[in-house]
Amino acid sequence: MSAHTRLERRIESPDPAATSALGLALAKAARPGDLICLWGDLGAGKTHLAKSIGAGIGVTDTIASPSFILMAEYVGRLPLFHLDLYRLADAADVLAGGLIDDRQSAGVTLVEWPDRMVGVLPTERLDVFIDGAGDASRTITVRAGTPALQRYLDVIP
Amino acid sequence: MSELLVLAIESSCDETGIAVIEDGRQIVSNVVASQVALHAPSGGIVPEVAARAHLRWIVPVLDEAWGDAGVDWPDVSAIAVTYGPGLAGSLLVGINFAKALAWVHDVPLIGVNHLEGHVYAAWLRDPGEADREDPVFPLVALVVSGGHTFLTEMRDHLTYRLLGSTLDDAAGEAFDKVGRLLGLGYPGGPAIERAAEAAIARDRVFPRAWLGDSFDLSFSGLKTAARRIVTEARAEAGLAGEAEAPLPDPLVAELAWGFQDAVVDVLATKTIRAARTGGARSIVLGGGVAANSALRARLAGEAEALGIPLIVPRPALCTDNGAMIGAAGARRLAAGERAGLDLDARPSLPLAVR
Repeated sequence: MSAHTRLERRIESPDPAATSALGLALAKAARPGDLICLWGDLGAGKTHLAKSIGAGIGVTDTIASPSFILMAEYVGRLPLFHLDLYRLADAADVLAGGLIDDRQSAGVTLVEWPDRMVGVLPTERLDVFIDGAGDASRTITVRAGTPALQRYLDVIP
Repeated sequence: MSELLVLAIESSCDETGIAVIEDGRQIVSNVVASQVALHAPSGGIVPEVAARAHLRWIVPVLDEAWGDAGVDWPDVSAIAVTYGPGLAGSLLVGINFAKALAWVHDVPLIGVNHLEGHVYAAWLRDPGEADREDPVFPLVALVVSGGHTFLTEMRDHLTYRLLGSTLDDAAGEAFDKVGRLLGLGYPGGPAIERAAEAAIARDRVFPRAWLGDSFDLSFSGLKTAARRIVTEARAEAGLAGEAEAPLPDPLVAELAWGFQDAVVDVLATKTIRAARTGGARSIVLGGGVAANSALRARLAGEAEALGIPLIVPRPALCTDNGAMIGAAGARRLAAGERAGLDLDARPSLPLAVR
């Protein structure tokens, strides 16, 4: 097995419940300072997955889409920062916007539409690619940017 | 001057708003430096661009509001400021400005929840406006904007019970995203409303998420359905392979109408049911989406049928502004509340609990 494949797992999610189960599992591996990027098209289910990761971290408030407010903050066993860069043009907006800030080192940061900051994304991140739309099943690929983040792959059922 | 004068500051999102409010109702002055034009090229607000713009605008906006009001510091009873929810950087500009003014002029400081400001906009009167009835308790308030969508019940001033809120996308966000799908500009709400008005065929049915008897709302499925419907419509129009080609205007109008009808139907039906269930004596509508005339018309008709008044501020008072913060701040001042100079931004400040 190559280093590349060891850092990646792919699952088929037949329905939203299975995607939620994945999110709850991933949350078990969450540690302060982790950055999780959620990739996928409009309606792929990024916010749906974010909700279950948040629930797994112990957030009890409703996690809604932060598209308009850009960043929502929650408290679970760790602070959760939920970013949605949908409206932004590029990395300059994200950086100038202070959307990546020091407080995030104490919690878990979920980023929807991370392609908006692709030039400045750190290697040390977990990527979750959601492929599919509508009622169809989703192919979800989880990729660890560094060996340390492999713990996320180990908790996937 | 014997009237209760509140200077109010709002900077939670992309509007820098400062107002002077008398007796919790009367707008003496109300200035909003709208940053919409600044943000339009990127299709939405840019927060730190917003925070910087707040810094750039806050003093000129105060100067203008102050000049319009023609008041002096000894007349000011309190300074009210939004301390959440919102973007931390943007909130801090307003909060620190308010604190400095409160300290220098030795005036009480009041922290106001941005969301309660949207509800209290219903009490505001414009200069020269004829007096009218205030909203009567118990009331049901629907607040719909780009970032927030919720229904709350008030049995008295400053007491909120959350009836339901969106589980995923805010209504305004759904308007923006579907507006973009249809190739309409930003902000999507007014663009969809204009397009829908031109619709000739009014029979497109978009799905409604009723969520049983719950007062919670969901617009994520509608957004996903809209994406599918638009893709199918593109194929029907022979544009399947031409991603950049615009849909013909009549088709855009038809789809905009169908989408808007679904949003309005769910919002109005749940609001009216909440009012009926709780024995509400008035209904308040607030937030940026309250400027949508289809929603206003539908709710007005149904409230009338129910025999209770619907109170909707004029559109400029539905979107973010300082006046609404002054109206809520005056209530908090009257209730004896004071914030310390350690008032901090609360980016995820809730309004109501279930």
